[in-house]
Amino acid sequence: MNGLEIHDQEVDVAQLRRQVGMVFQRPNPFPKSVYENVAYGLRIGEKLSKSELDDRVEQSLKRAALWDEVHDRLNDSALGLSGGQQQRLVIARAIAVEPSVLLLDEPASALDPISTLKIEELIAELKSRYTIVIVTHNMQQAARVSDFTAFLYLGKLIEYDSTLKMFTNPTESKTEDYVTGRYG
Amino acid sequence: MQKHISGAYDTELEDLKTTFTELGGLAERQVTDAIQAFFTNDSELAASVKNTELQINRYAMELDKRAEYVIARRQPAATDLRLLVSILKSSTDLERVGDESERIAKFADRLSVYDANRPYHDVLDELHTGVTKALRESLDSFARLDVEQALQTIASDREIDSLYDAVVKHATKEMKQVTKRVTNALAVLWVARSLERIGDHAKNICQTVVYLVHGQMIIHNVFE
Repeated sequence: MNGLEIHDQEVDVAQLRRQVGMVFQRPNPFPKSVYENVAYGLRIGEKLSKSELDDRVEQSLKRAALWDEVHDRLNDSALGLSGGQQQRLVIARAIAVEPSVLLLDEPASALDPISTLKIEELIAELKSRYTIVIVTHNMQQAARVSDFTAFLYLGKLIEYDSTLKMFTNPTESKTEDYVTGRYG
Repeated sequence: MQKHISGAYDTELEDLKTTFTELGGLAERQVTDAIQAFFTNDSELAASVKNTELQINRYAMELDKRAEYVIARRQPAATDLRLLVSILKSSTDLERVGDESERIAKFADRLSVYDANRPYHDVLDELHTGVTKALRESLDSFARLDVEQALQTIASDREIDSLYDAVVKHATKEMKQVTKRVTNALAVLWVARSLERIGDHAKNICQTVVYLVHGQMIIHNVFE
């Protein structure tokens, strides 16, 4: 990442993880308030005044397209939010600490179609600020949200190219078979 | 090519290909019948061309509907997507071939006698032969995914264009020399124009074949 071999023994893992925000398949908010979920990482990493912290929490929730839905219940438990809201909260938590890369591992697979579209819309907005790597088994989702697509099969990289090329005219026959639904 | 995991998807695509081939066959016959009706002043054959035109339109609409169904249900990608796009584009070309044929057949009704002794007869006949050959080759190359054939047929469109120019030249000369033959010469011009357009549709289909196989559009005979 940025010329750094991340598997190198010398790499400071804590420092690396600060640069890579991660979001997983099932929303995993802390069993704390909505506010605390976002403020948690900021308190550890930076020394901020109360008003600065408030601003950053608001900003992150806005960027995660969640602020309008939760601004009047910031002190309620995050576990009371819907699945889609929890996932956007987790994204807000990840982006609050300004990572370089956002790693989204099947971020919408446990969500209903509307919440899925909201997450995809959010990805489209966030990609101007962050490099987003999304892992998905949903090929239409990959086609919808990404600029570049990598096809991995049994742990091997089969092909990597622009999403348009990968879904209209891929080079590798394995990719072709996979995106057309021929892989047995 | 390997089959889809979904057998029903395979069947839907095969059905589309079959319907497209049938439409191609109808369009081919339509051109031959139309020109035959014109050459022989056969108004009965001209009427049958008109009927077949309705059938061609129904086929084209049916293809549109089925392709739409597959796109909505299967979200096709790669070769499947290109096949659907190609069928949709080329069925429009075939539908237009039908329209042009109907136009040609109309002159069989209007002209008293098509005079086979006129000097442009041979050129018109040659134009007709060239166009039907191009159409047949375009449909064959689509069915066989034969890019080489498609490129050859695209190149042969220049010959069709020069045959068309020759007909125009002869007919114009005729109109200048013998005013009472203007109506007939005009009919010949319209027929030649329709044939030339059918040649263009055959060329479009060939270009679509290149896209279908390689995923590249060729415009003005140049790869994108």
